[in-house]
Amino acid sequence: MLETNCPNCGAPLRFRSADLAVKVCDYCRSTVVRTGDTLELVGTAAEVPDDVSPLQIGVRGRDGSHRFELVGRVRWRWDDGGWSEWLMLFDDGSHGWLGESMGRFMLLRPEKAVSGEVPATMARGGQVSPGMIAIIAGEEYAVSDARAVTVAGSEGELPSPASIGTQGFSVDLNRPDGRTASIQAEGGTVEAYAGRYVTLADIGATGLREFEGWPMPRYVAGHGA
Amino acid sequence: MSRSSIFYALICLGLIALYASAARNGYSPFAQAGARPFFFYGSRGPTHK
Amino acid sequence: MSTVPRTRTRPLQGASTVKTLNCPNCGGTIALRAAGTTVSLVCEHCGSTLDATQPELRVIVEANRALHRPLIPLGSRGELDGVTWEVTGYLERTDGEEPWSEYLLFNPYEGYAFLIDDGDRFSLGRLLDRVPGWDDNALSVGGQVFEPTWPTYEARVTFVVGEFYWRVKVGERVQVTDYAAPNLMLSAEENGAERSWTRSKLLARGTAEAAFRIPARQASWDSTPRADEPSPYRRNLREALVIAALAAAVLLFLGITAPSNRLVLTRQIDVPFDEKSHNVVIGPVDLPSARQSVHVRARVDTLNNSWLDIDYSLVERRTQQSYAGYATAERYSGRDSDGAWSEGDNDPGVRFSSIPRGTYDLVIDGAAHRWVDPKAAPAGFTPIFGSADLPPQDMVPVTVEVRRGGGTGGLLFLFLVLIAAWPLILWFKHAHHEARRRGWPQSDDEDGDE
Repeated sequence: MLETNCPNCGAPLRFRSADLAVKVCDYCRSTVVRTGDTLELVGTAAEVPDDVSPLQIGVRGRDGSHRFELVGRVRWRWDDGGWSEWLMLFDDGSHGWLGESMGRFMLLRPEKAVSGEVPATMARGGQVSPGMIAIIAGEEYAVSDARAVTVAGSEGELPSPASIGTQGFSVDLNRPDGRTASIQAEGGTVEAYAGRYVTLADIGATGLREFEGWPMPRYVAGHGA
Repeated sequence: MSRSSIFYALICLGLIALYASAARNGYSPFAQAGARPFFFYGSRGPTHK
Repeated sequence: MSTVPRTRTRPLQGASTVKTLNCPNCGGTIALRAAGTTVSLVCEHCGSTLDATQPELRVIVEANRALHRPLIPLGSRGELDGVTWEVTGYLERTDGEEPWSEYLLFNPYEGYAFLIDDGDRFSLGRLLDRVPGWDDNALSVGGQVFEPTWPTYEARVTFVVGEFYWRVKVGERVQVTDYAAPNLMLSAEENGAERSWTRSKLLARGTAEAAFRIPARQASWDSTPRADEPSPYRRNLREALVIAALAAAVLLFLGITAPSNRLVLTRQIDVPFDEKSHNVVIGPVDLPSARQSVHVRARVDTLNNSWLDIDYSLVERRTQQSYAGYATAERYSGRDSDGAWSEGDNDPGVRFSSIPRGTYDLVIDGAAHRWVDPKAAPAGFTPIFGSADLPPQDMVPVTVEVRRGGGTGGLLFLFLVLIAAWPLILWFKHAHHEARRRGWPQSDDEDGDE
């Protein structure tokens, strides 16, 4: 935990985890990278476009018995749409991504053990098409979608710098049992995440955004019927 | 239970009662002869001896 | 509440989800209801397709005609199954024969749902997160089994207005395959690149109409049942079968535990041949119950090619009340091209029902007759009646047995049939509904297709 000040505007900055070395200043939107005790400005992050997502930084939830808090967000866009990835910081210091797309949520954790034709093709910049296979943590996933993506905005604390114009390639995969995975190539790195679809009730999300005229979901204690 | 099922159950009870009464009175639907039901009067037939 | 500093760039809590904008083509006022997920928006005033993936709306397809309003207006909110939904988009599709409408519903916490209107019933559909598994010839997901329906068909979009989370356009085609379960439908939509699964729940009549404040619809009584419309007779049939089983068990118990018949009296009498009237009286026949059935059996063992007419009269000694019965004992045998044959019941029984209490005499008026096979008769012999040329008569011994009580088998059978009547009617109605639902050809139906 490091409490410090933004090198650009002086506003308070907090780094909660050594793994999450990047923080987008809430006030001036400078992207600040921390290495040990030194802070470095690496640019300005684009503002996340306005949306009606129920999630916001500070939302708490749990994956089974592990509790997390949303500490950052990256908004991605592609030709025919966009989605958000919320950074989950768990109690034990590990992190994951809560993907939000078309009103559905995917809880994804990083997976190191990934092999198969998909990551291999992505590493050399080749074409990935639906149906191709990747093996993640020993299980087979099939590609459902593959697209070129760019970052449309970011906020909060993040594991790596994400500023506007970052070009990447994102592949969605799934299994018949409903589990889902995501492999992203950005710069030269290929990263894989695996998880499943969840609802807000499944993760017991609290601290959600409130909207005028919309009752909170029923599972939230004290709200609804 | 739906209304028609309750009605049917009552009918069955009635049928059971009717059966018990008929059996007690020795009624048989396949009888070739015998008394008409008790509520039919005037069934005196020819007498022999 | 939140420990994160509120920034000047973050939208305030409690803001509305609806953003009012102007169409870049016609300038008309339009709403953006699902910012962040909406990808394409069709302006309701001019029909232009606008791109919503950038902060500024951009015209993709220009149009200049007003679009007709959907039955449930865009922006309407209604509650279904405890969840409030807002209509953000509307489209009409057709399978080439029948059209239907779909409303894209949105809730910021629940995501999207589809309200499907086939003109008569409404269904609420949600996208599935998992791929259903095959279970014999049926699909199964979440423990629910869905049976196949009609062959895969092509669904084509014919009309679009409002906002959607995919690049919707008129003319868009998908291959659809439907599977049905009671009040549920599973649909697979495929457009070559990807396949999505939707599970829809058939809403009870009036539910969607009340939720979105549109006029209620009348059911037509003879319409073909939908594939997901369960038989309204199924539950009643199950209940009726349970009740029938219980009633039958009680009847069987009563029938089995009923006292069996008792032998009251047995006598051997002799019946002469060809006398006009010959009465024998046997008795006493004591009938102690208030009412009972009486069974009289006449066994004629030595009968051969003859028959006996027997008239019975059961006469109460004191009141002279009498009950009449009649039986024929017969036995014929012979030989023809197929070999030896014999027929006839030589042990007939007569049942008297509901005989009142009393002491009775049984008057037996019997006459025996010979039967001559016409083929074997001497020439000139007049057939059957009359036996003037035959040797003088014997007497036929007849063993008469009188029993009282018992014999409730027939009654039991009759009442079991009566009890089975209602479940049988329900079963036929149910089977008829299911046959029409599944579209099997009907013998007496002209339009039993689909």
